Amino acid sequence: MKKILLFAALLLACGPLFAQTDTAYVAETIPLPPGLTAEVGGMDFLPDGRLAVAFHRGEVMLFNPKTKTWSRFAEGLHDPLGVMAVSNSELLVMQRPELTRVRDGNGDGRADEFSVVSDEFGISGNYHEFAFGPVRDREGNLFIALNAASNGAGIRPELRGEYNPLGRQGRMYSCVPYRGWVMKIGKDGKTTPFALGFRSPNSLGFDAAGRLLVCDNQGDWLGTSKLYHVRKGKFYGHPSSLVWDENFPKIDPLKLPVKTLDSMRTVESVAFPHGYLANSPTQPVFDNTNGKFGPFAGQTFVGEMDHPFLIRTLLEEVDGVTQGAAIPFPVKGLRRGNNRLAFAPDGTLWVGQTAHGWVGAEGLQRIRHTGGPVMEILAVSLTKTGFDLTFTQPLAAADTALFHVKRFYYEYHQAYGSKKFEEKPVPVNAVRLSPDGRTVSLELAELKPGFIHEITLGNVASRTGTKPLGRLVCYTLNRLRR
Amino acid sequence: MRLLPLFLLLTLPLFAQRSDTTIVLKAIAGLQYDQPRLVVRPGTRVTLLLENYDDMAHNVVITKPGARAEVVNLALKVSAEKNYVPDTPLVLAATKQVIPGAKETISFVLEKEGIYPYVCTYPGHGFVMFGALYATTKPLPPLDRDPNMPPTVKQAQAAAHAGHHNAAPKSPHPFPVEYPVLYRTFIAGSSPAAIVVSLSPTLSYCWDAGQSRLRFAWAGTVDNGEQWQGKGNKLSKAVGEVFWREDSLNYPLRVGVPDQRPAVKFLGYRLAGRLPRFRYAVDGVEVTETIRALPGERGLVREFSLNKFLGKPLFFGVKNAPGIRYESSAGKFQNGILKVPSGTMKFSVTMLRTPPASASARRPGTD
Repeated sequence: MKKILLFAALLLACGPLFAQTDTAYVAETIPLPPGLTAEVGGMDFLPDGRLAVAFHRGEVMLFNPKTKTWSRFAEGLHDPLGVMAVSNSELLVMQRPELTRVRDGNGDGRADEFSVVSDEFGISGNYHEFAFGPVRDREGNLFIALNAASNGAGIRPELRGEYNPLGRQGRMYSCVPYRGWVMKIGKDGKTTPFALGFRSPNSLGFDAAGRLLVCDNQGDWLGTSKLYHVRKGKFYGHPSSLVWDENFPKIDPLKLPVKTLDSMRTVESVAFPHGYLANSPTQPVFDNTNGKFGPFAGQTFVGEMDHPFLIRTLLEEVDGVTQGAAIPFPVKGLRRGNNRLAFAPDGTLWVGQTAHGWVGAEGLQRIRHTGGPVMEILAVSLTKTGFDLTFTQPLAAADTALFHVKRFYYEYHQAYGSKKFEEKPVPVNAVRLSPDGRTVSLELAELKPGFIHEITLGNVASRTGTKPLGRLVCYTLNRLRR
Repeated sequence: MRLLPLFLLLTLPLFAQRSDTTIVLKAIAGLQYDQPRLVVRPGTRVTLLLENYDDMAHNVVITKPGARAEVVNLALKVSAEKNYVPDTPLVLAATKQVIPGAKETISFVLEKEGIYPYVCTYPGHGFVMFGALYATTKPLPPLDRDPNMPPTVKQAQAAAHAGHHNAAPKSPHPFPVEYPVLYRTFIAGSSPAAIVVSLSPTLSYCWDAGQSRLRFAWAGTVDNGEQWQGKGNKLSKAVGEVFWREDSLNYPLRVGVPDQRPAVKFLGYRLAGRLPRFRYAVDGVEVTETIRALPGERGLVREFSLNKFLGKPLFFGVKNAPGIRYESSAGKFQNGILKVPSGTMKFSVTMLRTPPASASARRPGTD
């Protein structure tokens, strides 16, 4: 009987991820200048509040939210996929061949200086060799990420950079320097390889705690899409880039046993279950609005290409390892293709959309918190026996029937994607509500490292009867609490 | 009496006999199948082979006539383990997940005449990645008026249509195209770090930022349409006659010594008006190169200036190109190498097109 009830509860839990009436956050569509193919590759706010947007056909346009007018800043760039504002007249733009300083030197509102900041990486001409970033750390160093090539196409007869046939193997490959790497450009202007093992690292961001976060996309060697906490010298699992590690032997890395590669890699901080949480996660940004955007100040939001929602990631350090939860973040009226995110000075979150030949949309939207209290999970933390879920508002009640937990993992292997392994429910033995009613402590029958623990909320509501925005929490449990 | 056997021959295969057919359908880049519509006779047993040439996983689902949108919406609630195929009688047949490079066969019979959608039900794909399988013996509507076609086909049709009717091409940007116009792009005949500059609609050049030198020049402009489509797998095209090309691996500009390959680094460019001035370093000497059209577009002039006084001569190698005459503002050519005297900080090399005799009847200085 208990089993049947559990089954029924799981069936109920398989409904939509969100309540149908969410209007706490709404997306408004920004009008675009006529003639623009609005595939957004990069976005950032200038100090004066204007938004710089780079588009697929090489234009960089400035939008003034006060006057709602567009102006042209630059043109002719090659598939720009990242913009960082330096001043009201200067941007850094990541385009296919280089990181470029784009500057209006004579003050006429149009860029006239295009200077190389870094082109110290190879290009084979393969279409998949996208370039992402830049982001800047607190010391002023810049970081960019270089996509591996795809065997969906070959390489050009003329390359830029040294060719290494050992890196040419496999589905996604790295036959010219530093494909599949994150690069650091120091304040001294020197470019150095920083971390490796990436497949399609769209894109990078620093969180409020100063961690460098990089998303990577499901495919070969990635059973599902991931978010990494990237640190110097670490290898994150996609092998082709190893050929550009000076300490790696001169061999085809794909010939190494999977076990060996597995032992070399640093695992993700968050795995996004494929299909329903993310298919292609994009840029991580943190909420720097000090509450203007609602209760999530300091938290990280991640874009997603295939779904009309964003994702919040909540990281914590457990036993020296960064890990945490991913929670879908519903926005009424949001399109798909959410490639680039930027918080505006007024506390709205601007989202630039693209498809770029995959699933997506085009255009620019602005996400606004409509005001009033938001009912949602604020924090998720692993305990010794389960999880603490903290809500923004006190709960009316909490019992074991309201929380359904299952676990599974995706396998690290060469093949494209992965099915779920060892998927099974984890019984919730006890539920305890804190005296203030905001924190629910779930006590689980078992916690198992190496598994994603997926918590689905049943009919949870606040004391005023408000349901939370989302119902799904996916916690990547790398390490147990000691 | 003689008519009857003929009548039977024509009708029997249609009504009394089931035919078999095998169709190969490919999933290709840009969320599309290689064939937007297929046609079989009603009652045919169809063996459909889906081959995935894309770089992401797909499936193909055959639905009941008119049920594509509903199946696609139902599929949004189905997990990856179930291949995003909803459990509904609206689905007639479906492959499992077909990963890049893999293939899978399904087999089904379409008894009744009708238009059976085929669609990829991966999240988001189904809104654009579909086609129509006609089970009919009747003629199909023209492709551009077929309401069952995916947006990719409609766009291609519209583009072809626009191409036929518009003499002046529309600007691909939210502003009019002004010359000179610069594009960084992928184009054949250069490293992947190419810069294409059209000085006018009838004169363009490709400057290679991977090698810091001019690579080729042509009488025309550039078509970026295919490079900008989808993921950027196709190259930009030089439209017009290429009249000069430099394929030699010898770097043309040398400082001090003519026979030593210099270390070259691209630094960027500045725009004067809209005209680019390329900046690069040759053995540590910063060079600015500006390329202009000769009057009447009879060729190009390349102006070089150095950022510092050098107590050394410069050497500039030129390729013996048919139809091109080289001139310089300083120094002398000897065996295809221009020697610029020590102390020169500015010089130019002119590449003058010298048309063959048959074309010399054109008035000079005009288009």
